[in-house]
Parts: sequence; C-alpha cells; structure tokens
Amino acid sequence: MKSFVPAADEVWRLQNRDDAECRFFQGFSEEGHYGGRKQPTTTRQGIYACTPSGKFLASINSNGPEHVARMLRKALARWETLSDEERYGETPPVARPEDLRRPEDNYPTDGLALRVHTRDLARANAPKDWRSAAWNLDFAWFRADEVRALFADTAAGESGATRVVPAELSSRIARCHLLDNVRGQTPALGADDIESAELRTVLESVEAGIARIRIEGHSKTVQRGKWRIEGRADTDERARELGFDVKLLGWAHYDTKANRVTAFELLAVGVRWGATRYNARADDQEPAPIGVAFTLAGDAPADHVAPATIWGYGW
Amino acid sequence: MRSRTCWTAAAVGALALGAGVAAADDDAAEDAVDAAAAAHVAAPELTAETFAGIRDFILPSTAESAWRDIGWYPSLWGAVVEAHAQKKPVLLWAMNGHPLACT
Repeated sequence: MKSFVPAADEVWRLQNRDDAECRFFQGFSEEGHYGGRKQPTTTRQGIYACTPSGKFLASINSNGPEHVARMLRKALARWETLSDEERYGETPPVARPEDLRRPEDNYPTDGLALRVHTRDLARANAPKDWRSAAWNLDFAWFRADEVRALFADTAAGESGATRVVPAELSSRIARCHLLDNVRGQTPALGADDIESAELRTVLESVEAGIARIRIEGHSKTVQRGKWRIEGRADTDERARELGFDVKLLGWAHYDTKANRVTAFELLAVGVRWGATRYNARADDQEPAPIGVAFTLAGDAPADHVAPATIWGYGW
Repeated sequence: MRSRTCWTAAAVGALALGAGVAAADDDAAEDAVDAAAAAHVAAPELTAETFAGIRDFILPSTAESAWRDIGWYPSLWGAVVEAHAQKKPVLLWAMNGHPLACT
C-alpha cells in the first residue's frame, strides 16, 4: 500500500460525467476487469491502479486480500517497466481542473457535518454470518443558516423551553438519513413517504456561552410502490413497502456567539421493515430493530465526503 | 395496511408458541398480535439511561473502522495530483456509493 497514493471515490459519476477527473477515469477503466461490459450491469466499480499520467496498470473487483495483493504486485511490476514520461506525462496535473464539479463542493465549512452510522440492533433471529455485524457510514450536512435555525432560538430562550425544529429540516433528516443502509444502499425518500417527522429542541443549560440542548422526537416513514428488491437477480417489479419508525434522542452543545456546534450526539432507535433493490434485505423484510447514530464528523478529507443522499437535499 | 401485514406475519410464530391466545373477539386478537409482534422486534427503549449503551453498540469499534486509518484521498483527482508529486502510482477504490461513506 505504501507504494501507492490511495484514493476512494464514487464510480457512477466517474464513468458517466464529463469533467477532467471523470475523463481521466474513463481513459483507463475500459482496460480493466469490466472493460466493455454491458450485462448484467455497466458498472466499472472495483480497485484500479494507474499512473499519474492516466495509464492503466492493473485492476480487480474483489474483497479477497490475497487477490487484491496479487493485483497490487502486478501493478507495481508494470510500473517498473514504464519510462518517466509514461508514468507522469509531459506536464503535471493542475491542482483543480476548471470544469471539475464534485458534490463535496457543497461542504458546509461554516455549518455542521455529521457522521451517520447505522447498525442492526440485537434480535433473536439475527443471521449467523457477516450480516449480523454489518454497519454503514454516511454523512449529514447542515448549512450555517440551518444550524442557526436548529439551535439559536432555543439557546436564547428560557431553560426548559421547547421549540419545534423547522419542518424542512426534520423532514430532510427523515427522508435522507433515517434509512436502512446497514447492508447496502437505500435512496432518499420523497416528501410523500413521511407519515411523521417531529423533532424538538429543549434548552437544558447555558455555561460560558455554550448552550446544552436536548434533541428529541419521533419519525415514521413508509414508502409504498412497485420496485425490485434482489439486485440484479430480481426482474419483477412487485408491490412493496419500506418502513422506518424510530424515536430520537440526543444532545448538542451550541456556541451561541459563533453559531457553531461543538459537541453532538443523536440516536434514532426503532424498527425498520421492507427492502430496496440494493440494500440486501430481500430475505429480511419483517420488522426488526435498527439504530442510527449521528456524531460530529472530523476535519480529515475523508470526513468531507458528501452525503449519499445529497441530491435529495434540494441544495 | 401492509405494515400490519408484516407485523402479523412476524407474530404468527410467536403466537403459535405462546399460550394459545383465543380470538374471543377481533379487537382482542389484534391486540395480542400487536403485542407478540412488538415482543418479536423488541427495539430497546431509548432513554437518557440507555443512551450510552446503545450509542456504543451502534458505533464501529476501532478494529471495524481500521480501514479508515489509510490516508484515502476522497477524490481521484486529489490522488492524481499527490501521486505526481510523490512519484508514485495511484490506487483507486471506486464503488457505487462512495467507499468512504455509504456504499
């Protein structure tokens, strides 16, 4: 690994959009393991090695350590055969191409970024394999004006006073972040899928300009329609239902002068049911307990990745 | 309601193993089904007292999130620029859904 500069990125955009970064990927990915493939899908996901000039070295789509290690050795062997010009090209890459457009461009520098972890909670009939230990990570973003809308009035009020979180924000949390993605992907829900999304903030104390605010509420979403639930194997769209019914509780520490959240923990605990095409729940659709944990994201670049449901934000 | 259908299906086994609830009337039977279904799914109660335990259960352990210790660049282009500077090849992990977030 130390012989490489590692990157992780979302493949659909890389293989379908038209900017310098996407064209760079498209320039070598067709030489890889899925080059030219159209069935059962056109995805080019996997692990690739390339030169800074864009020459293909090796690739694989496997989570087997030995297979990946073999691919890395193959890539390094090919790297050793190349000239400097083949490795690096004639000119160095610009720091940021003018036409580059990434979802991370919307990162709320002066707002709030949260990690969102999801995991199944304990139950009697949990499967005896990787699925019982599965968890996932996503991110949730709030702009500075949204942070103010969440906490400023509460922080300025009387201790114990309760305020209702603006419906736009509680609905977005329900649609975009109270989702079953423990084993795979679940798209953002629509506004019509919300049966209830009620969040309240309660001022507990203020000390040295930092307000301790409790967050509590309940959310229930139910999506009904026709869709597939078994990935590529399922060819029939049938009537389905997808549900998520949780209670929420947490605390934020809010700097009233800086409009900054200095500490944050929020849990959503309840029941999910149903399946989506790519969340690997086809054999696990009955109601079962699930938990979601919202915590502060860090400052590392890997913590600036955009929410998977950013397209549902309406930003 | 399909949600009731799901809960009902989940409850059938529990009822069969239970005390043989007799459906004296529809309401009583429905209540019993709901109770059995609720016991079957049994999400823990979220309170100030249970908060820390549930949070620690959901969040990944150090071992589970060890892959994040690798200094991944979250964009291909960022890694290309750095690889050129370091005179190294690029290793790209590209998935449907960003690998550092929801994949």
